[in-house]
Amino acid sequence: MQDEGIALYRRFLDGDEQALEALISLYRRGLLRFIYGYVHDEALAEDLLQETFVALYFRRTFKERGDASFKTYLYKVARNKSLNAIKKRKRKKEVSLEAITDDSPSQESELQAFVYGADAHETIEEKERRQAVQRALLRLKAEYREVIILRYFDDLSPERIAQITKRKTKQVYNLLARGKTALKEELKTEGVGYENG
Amino acid sequence: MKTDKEVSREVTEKITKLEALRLRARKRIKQITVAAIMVGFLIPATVHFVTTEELNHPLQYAPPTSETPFDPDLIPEDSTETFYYGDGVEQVEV
Repeated sequence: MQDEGIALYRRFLDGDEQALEALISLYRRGLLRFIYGYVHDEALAEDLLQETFVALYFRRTFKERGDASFKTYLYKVARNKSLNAIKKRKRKKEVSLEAITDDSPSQESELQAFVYGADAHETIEEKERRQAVQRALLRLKAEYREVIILRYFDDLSPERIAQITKRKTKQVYNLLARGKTALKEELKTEGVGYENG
Repeated sequence: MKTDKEVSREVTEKITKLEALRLRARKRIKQITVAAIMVGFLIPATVHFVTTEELNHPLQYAPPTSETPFDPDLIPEDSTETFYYGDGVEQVEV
C-alpha cells in the first residue's frame, strides 16, 4: 500500500487527476478519522482533508527514505493542518469552549459512520458497540486519542506514530498504555466490556 | 457525504486557483523589483546631477561671463575655494 501511495503521489504531481482521486480514496477514511479526532467538527475536518492534499501538491518536500513512509508524511501534514486550525479557532473565539469540548453528537452522522467503519451488514449489537467505542474515544484526552487512533485504527507502528506526533518512541508506548487504561474506563461507563470492544 | 470524485474535483479546483494566484504574485514581484531598481538607481542619479552641479553651486562650476560678471559679495566669508574672475582667465583665492 505504501508503494501504491508513492506511485499515485508522483502521478498526482504530474497533474494526473485520476491519481489524485485514487489517492483520496486510499487515505480519506483514515485521514478524516484522524483530523476529526482533533477538531471535532465535520465540515472543518473535510476542509482540512482537502487542504492536506493541496499542501501535498505545493510542498513537494516528501523524500523517499527508509525511515519515512509516505503515509507518515501525509499524516504529519494533516496533523499540522489540524493543530493550526485549532489554534486559529481559539484565537478567533468563534466557538465557545463548550462547543469545542462537546464531541458526542446524539445522532451518528454519515461522516462518523464512514470513518469508524460502519458496515451495511452490521447487526444492531455491533453498531451499538461501535458507536460506544466512538463516543468513548472522543471523550479521551487528545494525546491519548491521537496515538490510539493511529495505532489501532490506522495500524501504524509506535515508531511511525512517534515521527508523526514528534514524540519519542518511549513516550508513545507510555501514551498508548495510559490511553488504553483510560479507554477501558470510558467503555465501562458506556456499558461495553473492554475484552468485547 | 461527498464522493471521492467530488473531493478530488474540489482539491483540483483549489490547486488551480492557488497556482493562478502564485503566478500573479510572481508577476507583481517582478514589477515591484523593476520599479525598485528605477527608484534606487536612476532617479537618485538624476536628482544628484541637477542639485549639486547646477542648482546649489552656480559660482563654483559656472565661470562668470560678460552677461553675468563676477560679484565678490556672493562669496561666503568663510569660503576657501577658488572662484573664477572676469571671463575665467584670472582667478582669485578667497
